[in-house]
Amino acid sequence: MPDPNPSPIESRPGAGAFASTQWSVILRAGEGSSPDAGEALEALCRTYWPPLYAYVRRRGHAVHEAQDLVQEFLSRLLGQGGLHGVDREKGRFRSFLLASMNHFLTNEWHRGQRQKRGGGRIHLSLDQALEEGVADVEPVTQFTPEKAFERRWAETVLRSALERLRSEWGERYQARHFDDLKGFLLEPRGAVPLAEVASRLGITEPALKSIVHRLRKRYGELFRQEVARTVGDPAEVEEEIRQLLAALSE
Amino acid sequence: MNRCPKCALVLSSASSLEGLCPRCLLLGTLADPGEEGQSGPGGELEVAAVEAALGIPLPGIEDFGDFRDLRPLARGGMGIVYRARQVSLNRQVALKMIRSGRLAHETDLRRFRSEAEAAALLDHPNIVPIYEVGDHHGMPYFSMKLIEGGSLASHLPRLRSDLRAGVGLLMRVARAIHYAHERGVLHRDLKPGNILIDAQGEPHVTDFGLAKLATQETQVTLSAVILGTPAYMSPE
Repeated sequence: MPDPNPSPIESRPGAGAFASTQWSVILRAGEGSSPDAGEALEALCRTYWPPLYAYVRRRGHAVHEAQDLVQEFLSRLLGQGGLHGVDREKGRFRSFLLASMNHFLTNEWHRGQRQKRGGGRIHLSLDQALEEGVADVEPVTQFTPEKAFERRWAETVLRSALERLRSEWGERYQARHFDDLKGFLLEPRGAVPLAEVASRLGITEPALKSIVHRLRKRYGELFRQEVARTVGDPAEVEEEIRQLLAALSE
Repeated sequence: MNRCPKCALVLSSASSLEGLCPRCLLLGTLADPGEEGQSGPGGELEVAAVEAALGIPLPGIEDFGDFRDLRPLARGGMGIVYRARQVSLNRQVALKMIRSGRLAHETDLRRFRSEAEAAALLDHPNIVPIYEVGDHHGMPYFSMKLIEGGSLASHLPRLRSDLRAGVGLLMRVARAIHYAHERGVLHRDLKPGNILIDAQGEPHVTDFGLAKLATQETQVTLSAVILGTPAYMSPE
């Protein structure tokens, strides 16, 4: 009988991959003096800028201004001293990023003007991402800026894991069938009729169940790995997942 | 306003989750993925099992070290078994490899080596013997005696109408398993598909991929991973 409440890290397969989370590498390095920490931070920022953009937009900035602000913020963060003041003992990347953005916006406000943009080491294709619908913010007016940030964060974690699953699938099967199968990752189950999809794929229902089982298992692993990237200690993953779920409640 | 038909969450058009509801997706990661089929240790998508389920045909391999004319016989969650000709000894063998080969997860590699080690400990007329363990250009493999009569699963209809033959066959399987237990090897995935029947109707236990050696460290068998095939697992 499996443990109904397994710890997401210690008891899950592939847990060894989390021995050192990306964020913990950054925290240990402090002010970004280590090349590994710099690369880790850049990788995290490349994934997790859409929540920042959602936040800035909900704070009332227009589209292009919000793009500029996010770009400038990330450039400074990834530049010299960007990690100054990070509490090495605690804190998750999510909290750090939101607090840092708030600090940045306050300074920008006081200064009343922004320096030349784009001088940093990262340049994100915000325009392209917006065209693809990755980062745009629809007018859901009941969301506070913080709620918009938290919710987009949760969606970004899920999206990142989904992209990795699609990539693993696509490398072997040229992405065929993935679109038919991804609906089975959802809970509650039963929303997608097995018989219909099995028929479409030309396989039996037991064969489809076997594939779905493996896809769900792998997506769960990838999701936890993605969460683990952003916390300071693997033991925080479960609590972080609870907070992501809370962010997706209305 | 677009809402999820299941949980009524207001869906963001910008979340780029390919139309999937984020809350239902997250809840899906928290649920038990189900227990359909033999479950491997995780760490990567179980390629062989998915390909088998999709009915993707396996290509043959013409040349693999001392072996020629490899033709796929069977595939499981982790490995593929080929029929092959061993050139040096001019004999037909069964050759097992990990499906993902060089990209195999370390846990899979340990399990693969463990299978060879477990089977190599056993010298019994009703257990498929291991001939050779090796590595060809980074692809680990082991060769076994080729048993060509199919598995017990394909003989079940015949044995149902011949109970005496069925009981006799199971007695021989039970003695083979007892022999393995005496040497500290637990098969842990015994089922009709893992009992091969030769041309004389003799059973041969195979596939020690989930076997546990009594002396082995427990690292390969992660405590929360369910091993085996649910329909044939002991209830505990």
